[in-house]
Amino acid sequence: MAILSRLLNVAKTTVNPVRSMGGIGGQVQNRPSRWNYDIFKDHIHFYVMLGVVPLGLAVLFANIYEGPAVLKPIPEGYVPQEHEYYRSPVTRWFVKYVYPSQQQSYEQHLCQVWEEQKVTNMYQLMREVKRVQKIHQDYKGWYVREVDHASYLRASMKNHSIYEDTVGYVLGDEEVPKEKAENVFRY
Amino acid sequence: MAASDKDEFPVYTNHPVFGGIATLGYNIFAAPAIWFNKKLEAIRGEPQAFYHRRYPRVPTIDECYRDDVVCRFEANQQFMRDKLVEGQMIDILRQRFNECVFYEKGSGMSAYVPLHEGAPVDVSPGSTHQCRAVLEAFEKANENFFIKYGELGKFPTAEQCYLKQKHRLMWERRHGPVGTGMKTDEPAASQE
Repeated sequence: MAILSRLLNVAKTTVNPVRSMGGIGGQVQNRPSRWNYDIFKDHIHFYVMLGVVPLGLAVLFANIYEGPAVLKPIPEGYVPQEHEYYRSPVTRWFVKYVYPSQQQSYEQHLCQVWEEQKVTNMYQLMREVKRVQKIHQDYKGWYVREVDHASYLRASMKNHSIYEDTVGYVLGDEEVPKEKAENVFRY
Repeated sequence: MAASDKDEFPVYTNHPVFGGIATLGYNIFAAPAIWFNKKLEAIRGEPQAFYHRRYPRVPTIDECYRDDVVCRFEANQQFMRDKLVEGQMIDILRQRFNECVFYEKGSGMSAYVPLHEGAPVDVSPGSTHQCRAVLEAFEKANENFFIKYGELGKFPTAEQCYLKQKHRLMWERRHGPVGTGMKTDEPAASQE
């Protein structure tokens, strides 16, 4: 469809890029663009032929041959299926074959709410722990590792003496600040 | 229209003055539609049935634990459904009153009453008219609806409604029934 309308326009214009040869063979028409008009017709054609006509016919025949449902009270002891809660035949077909039932989506939402509550509870608990720890800031949290600082310090001093024996005494080693020598072992 | 073969009796076609016009209107608008519908019924056969949904009752908000968000969510949904249903019930009662008045007021000169505020029928307090009972039922139901759902906003929650009841009971415990005024905060006279 798009191709046909465009070919028609192409047939009306002739391309003479180099020379006009006195007008022999046709001339380029000096006229405004027809592109918007053509594309509008293409869109109308597309949506009507592929959208309006098939779906309209489907809805028409569904209403002619099956028709809307009538409201009745629920019989005793009978649980209606999901598609029996709707009137239009098209809606009933969609509910029967395409859409999830209302109960399914409701319970899925309940599950989502429950999961989010678990996550929220965890975050609230973490925030509460941090708040309480912040009051005195003297509590060892879950992240504290009890380390034997003295043994690691001894090991590092021994390594330093081996290094000194290998490399020799380096001027400037004595400028290490006092805090660093007593520093906690950094894992 | 149900699948039945009895003919629809056109209303007001027996009227001495407007019968002709009513028949004309019926023949133009109603008769072709009825004919067409009968043709469709012949093609379709027995129509399918559809039902109105029934929701099972779940625990209300006063039976839910504070941390049980699933229970609270379901109670809230039930509360919203109940609000819609009870609003519709109020509408039905109001319609009943309007229909009662319309039926009882009479027609022509007997319906002509001097312009006043209220219904053309005597439904003042103490009247023995049958519409008075209908009006009292509607007003009582309306008052109860306002007590339960009133002044909670456009999107109330079950918690708000429940706490409104709690606050009302506390207020009534302190000041007496609603509508009898508030008691001032005086020092206890029993200390004397």
